[in-house]
Amino acid sequence: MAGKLRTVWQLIVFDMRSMLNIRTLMFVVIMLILSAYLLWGLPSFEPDSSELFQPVSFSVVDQDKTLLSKKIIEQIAEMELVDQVYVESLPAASDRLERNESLMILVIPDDFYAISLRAEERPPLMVHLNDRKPIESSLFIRMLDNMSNSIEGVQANYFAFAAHLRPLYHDNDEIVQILDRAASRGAFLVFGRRAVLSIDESAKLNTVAFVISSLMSLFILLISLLLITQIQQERASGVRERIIIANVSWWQSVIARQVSGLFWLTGTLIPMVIGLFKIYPEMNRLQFILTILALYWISALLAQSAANFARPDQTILLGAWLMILAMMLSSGCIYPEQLLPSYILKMGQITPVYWAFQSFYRILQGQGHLPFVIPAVILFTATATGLSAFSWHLKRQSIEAGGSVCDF
Amino acid sequence: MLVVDNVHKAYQKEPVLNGVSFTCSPSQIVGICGSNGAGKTTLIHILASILPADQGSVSLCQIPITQPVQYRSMIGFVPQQVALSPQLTVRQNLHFWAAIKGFTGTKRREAVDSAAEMSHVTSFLQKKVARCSGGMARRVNLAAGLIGLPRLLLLDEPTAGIDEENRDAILKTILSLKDHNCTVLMVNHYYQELASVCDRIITLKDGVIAEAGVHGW
Repeated sequence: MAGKLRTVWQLIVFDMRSMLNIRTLMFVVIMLILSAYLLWGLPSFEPDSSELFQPVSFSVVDQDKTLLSKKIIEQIAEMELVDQVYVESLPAASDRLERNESLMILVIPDDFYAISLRAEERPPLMVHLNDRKPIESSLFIRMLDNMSNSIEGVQANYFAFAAHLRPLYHDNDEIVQILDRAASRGAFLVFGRRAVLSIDESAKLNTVAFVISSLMSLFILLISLLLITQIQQERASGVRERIIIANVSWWQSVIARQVSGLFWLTGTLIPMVIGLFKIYPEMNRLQFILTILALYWISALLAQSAANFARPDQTILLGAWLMILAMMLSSGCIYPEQLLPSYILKMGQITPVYWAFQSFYRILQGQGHLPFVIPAVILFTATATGLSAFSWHLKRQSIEAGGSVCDF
Repeated sequence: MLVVDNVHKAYQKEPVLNGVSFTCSPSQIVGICGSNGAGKTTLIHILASILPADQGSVSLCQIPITQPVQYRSMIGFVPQQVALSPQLTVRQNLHFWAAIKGFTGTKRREAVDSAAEMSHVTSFLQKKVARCSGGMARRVNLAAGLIGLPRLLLLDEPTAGIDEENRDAILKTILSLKDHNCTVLMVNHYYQELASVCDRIITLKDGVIAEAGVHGW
């Protein structure tokens, strides 16, 4: 057994050294530099390490002093990125801003709430910015703008509600009381809108995770394509014949090729994987790496089988490309599975890409891999191994005009 | 001794070899020639145990081809194409093939040096195969087949498309194998070239031996 493993090692070294040239070395060096940059340069999203966005403090000048203004202050204070909210006078807030201790001053004008309930033009919320923090300021201005739009929405609904309510009551004071209660309750509910409406977002497409999962699957499949070219070269050059005569078993050759392909897999994916580990600290890294390896192993075995089945002079790369596209389409990598007809999705389940893609997608969202993925991997690996063994042993012969060509 | 007895082979029911039989004694150089499609390459692939024969038997030193591990350990094969890695040097290529054949340590170095010397490639061992000329690469290809000095060396058109100087070097190497008790079976299109080195020439026509002559010159 030691001798057989030594032969595998020799084949791996031969494959690796055959691949190494100035271009591949350049590729490796670039990938290493990129990985190092991502490893040390990309900020971590883990809560216990250096953070991308430092919490900021606010000053609020509350001239209105109503339930609404208090609710606004409360909402700002509850935000994750907000450290402190100082409710103070305008001169005190200005001094704080001058000392660079706060990001901005939010002035809620007098009668802000009362005027909001009437169909009059509301005095604007005044914002004083800290010009030493332009990026943070712009982010929070956008957030305040959204908040202001929410208030306008509430206001519009309130007036519509009042118009419909008015014919039902004769007593004006009673209407005012009812509208006042409704407005207060509506405003609170809108500001704390997560409490109003509970939304199940599990079925919502996570676009970033979707794109990353698709790209990850595509890159792995592309690396498998490289093996097709290598095997065709090996067969066309007569190296395969020599390997057979040297008593090398099919499994030794197949494993050596698979392992040398891992070099390309690592070189291509390591920057991406490092970046993902930083951006998604909550994902299960072991499961993610195992999914990469499983998809690579299965697709590389299938690629080896395809290269063995075809004749060395046949151009099968185009066919392999089309096959990859079909597998990706039916697995929901190109169009989300929600948009695909069920019969295509069922077809996708018989490809390893479906299981890998869905696992990537789930792992990126911190959900762990698909159920039944382990039996599926075992089944796919066994099938692909059987195919590669069969294709290795299959002797295909053809006679070409002008001479005999044997291929196997 | 190589014994080939009544070998048949057909591709998709189209017969290529129809009962080929011959024997080769040790140190004999046998040429196989014939027109395109005569079955030369098929025959040499069967003898190399790459292709299975449909019928008939082959044995070398009384080891039948049906015991491939023992049979293959006694043969060397030089395919028509240059079966080497262009990115590696000549020495690295030879070391790889020696390692694959099971040679280790000093024995591997000795096997590589011996094959390199016999094939006259010692002067450019450090050269990458990609930088070798076609003729030089053919000589290295031959050296790779000679590693471990096999009992039977199978050559598939070893001099195709190379210049006279390299052809002479290859033929000289083949002739020198007689002194090492090695049987050589060589496929070639050119009768005259075979006649210059072979003890016997087998001419294949329509899958049968049309002529098997012993040359007295």
